[in-house]
Amino acid sequence: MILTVRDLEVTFRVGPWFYRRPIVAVSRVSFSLRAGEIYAIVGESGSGKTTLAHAINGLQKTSGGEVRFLNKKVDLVRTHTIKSLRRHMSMIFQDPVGSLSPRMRVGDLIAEPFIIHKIKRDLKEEVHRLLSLVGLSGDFADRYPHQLSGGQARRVGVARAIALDPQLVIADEPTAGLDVSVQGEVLNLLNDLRERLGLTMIFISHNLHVVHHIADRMAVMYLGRIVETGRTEEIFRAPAHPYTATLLSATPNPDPDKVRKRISLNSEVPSLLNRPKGCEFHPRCPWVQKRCSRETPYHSNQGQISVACHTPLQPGTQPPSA
Amino acid sequence: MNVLEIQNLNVTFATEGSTLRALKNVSIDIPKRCIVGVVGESGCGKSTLINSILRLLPENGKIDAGTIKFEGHDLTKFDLSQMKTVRGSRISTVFQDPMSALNPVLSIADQMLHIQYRSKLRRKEKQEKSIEMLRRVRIPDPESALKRYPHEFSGGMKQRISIAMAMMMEPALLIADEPTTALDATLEVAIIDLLKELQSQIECSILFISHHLGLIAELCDQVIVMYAGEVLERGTAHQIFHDPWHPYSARLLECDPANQTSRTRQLPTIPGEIPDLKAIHKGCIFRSRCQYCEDICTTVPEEFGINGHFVRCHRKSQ
Ligand SMILES: Nc1ncnc2c1ncn2[C@@H]1O[C@H](COP(=O)(O)OP(=O)(O)O)[C@@H](O)[C@H]1O
Ligand SMILES: Nc1ncnc2c1ncn2[C@@H]1O[C@H](COP(=O)(O)OP(=O)(O)O)[C@@H](O)[C@H]1O
Ligand SMILES: [Mg+2]
Ligand SMILES: [Mg+2]
Repeated sequence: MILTVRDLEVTFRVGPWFYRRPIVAVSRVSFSLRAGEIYAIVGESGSGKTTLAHAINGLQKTSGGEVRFLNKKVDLVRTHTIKSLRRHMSMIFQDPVGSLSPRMRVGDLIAEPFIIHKIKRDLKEEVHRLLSLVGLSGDFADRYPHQLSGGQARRVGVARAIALDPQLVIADEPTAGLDVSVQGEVLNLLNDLRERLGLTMIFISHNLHVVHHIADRMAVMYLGRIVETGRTEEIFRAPAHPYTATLLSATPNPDPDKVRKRISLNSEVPSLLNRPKGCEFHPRCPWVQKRCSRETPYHSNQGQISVACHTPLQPGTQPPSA
Repeated sequence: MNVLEIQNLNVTFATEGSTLRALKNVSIDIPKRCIVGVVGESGCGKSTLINSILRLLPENGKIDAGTIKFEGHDLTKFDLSQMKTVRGSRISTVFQDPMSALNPVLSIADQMLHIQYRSKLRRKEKQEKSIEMLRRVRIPDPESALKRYPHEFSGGMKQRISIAMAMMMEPALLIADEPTTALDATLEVAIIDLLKELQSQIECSILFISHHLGLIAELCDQVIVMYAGEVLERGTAHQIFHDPWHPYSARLLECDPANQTSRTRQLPTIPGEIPDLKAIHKGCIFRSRCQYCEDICTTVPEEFGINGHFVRCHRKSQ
């Protein structure tokens, strides 16, 4: 295993100083990653995806559990280990242009990781190698970030992330905000790099359909917890958690003549300050039963899928009619 | 009957040393009680189109030619105060960021009363109308919601409130510019359902702008496909989604990941870049990226159409 995350928890304190309250943004998250695998984390905004990524990368203090990367504990206190960690685990950040310093040229941006980690290479050669790996011509090295289109900026972000041959890349919403014609380009690039370089990757997205084409396995997060995880294809074929089923049905079909069977939710996402009792999805769940508001469901296996639900959906289940 | 008729609209922006042609010969009709969707990727001129209708173009922007007829009057001839009257009552808007319509320091009640300042109703009746509107957009407990401030609501709720405010004066035309782009998928579809319901109650028309093909397919009766400032194709939702004539429309549909129901490693894309709108272009604007490009494409294609389905492409007009 390259990465093992066990019972990871991140707590923030929110509110004014006289009324600080803790919110648990990531709660008891566990999973592990094999080399060469792409693992997707999906969930609506605020479900804790970015916080989880930062906790794994050592950018965020945790309040419980542990992260082991290449058999070493990720420990924020030991700056020495953090630096070597960053060398082998890189991030592609959510905001493509904003995460690139505006006054640096693309060439310098791509060379930066070598300089930070004091790795002696022919930088010019490395920049050209990396540019061509992400499908940009050599003259992009002289451009500034604002002279790039959204898709090109993402490519530069990818080039930086793979510069030092990392063991693990964490990509936080790498296709969000891109036009559909460009979104495919970025996904194809990542798929291609995975094949050529054997990349291991955590792929974060709020878009289930994007995940379908890239991830081997996936996890669905709700209020900071993983509610369902398993092989991507199986979850798409037969989601076991009602929340996953809802997300899948929420994508409108680009066909005006199709009859829609949409699962509608009863309310909006609850606040982390006020987590529902029992199963935290129960106030919105169309299949809710009495015990759901009292007992917390634990993960159990249904086929190859692990799901936290008292009555997981069976393949082909229809939503109850209102 | 059409609520809005745009004919040969040309809009340019003055930029350092050159002129950028943001809209070129754009013609659009919005029939009464019809939901018309505009699809197109970023930079194709969607916001410029809306800002031209509302006469809210940035200072360096200018309508060079064309007419925008709304309920029979040409808006390009209106002065500022006439435009203000139209914007407040006959045309209303919903934007991507609900806070662009909401005032953070006023209670919801004050803002909803303010919108009705032209109405002859008494204060109590206006209040009741506000509550009724909030109920229609499904804000829980609308009486107490009125007393609250925008920041006390979630993003999805704020967008519902801004829709309630936009629909309050029963406009003839609602312009919605990417109203769901900042929302999660489950909320997106809820907003779409809501717009559909309100539209049929109020019997207004909607100009719905989005880059999200699935939403357009679900909501709209008619669809306009824009690219680099031009209308390439328009027709009914059925025509555009089932039988796209323009190579760009067809390719765009293929690119939608929701259209790839089985898993693929190689997703379709549209190679190349949107042309530089500051340069002068000869012929078809999509030609540099078109897989069917031929010699004839260096000449401007005429618009060709039958049964309300129109396209600008030499492959159809030949
Ligand atoms: N620095 C912070 N301080 C307080 N709360 C935070 C902070 N960062 C994130 N949160 C909260 O943690 C939750 C998860 O946020 P995030 O990880 O950004 O979600 P996602 O990436 O899935 O949209 C949200 O409720 C967010 O408001
Ligand atoms: N104020 C402006 N000055 C110069 N160019 C502008 C201005 N506003 C928009 N543009 C340009 O006009 C074109 C259309 O922009 P816009 O209408 O915002 O597109 P969309 O809303 O479809 O993304 C783009 O090329 C954009 O860069
Ligand atoms: Mg995030
Ligand atoms: Mg726009």
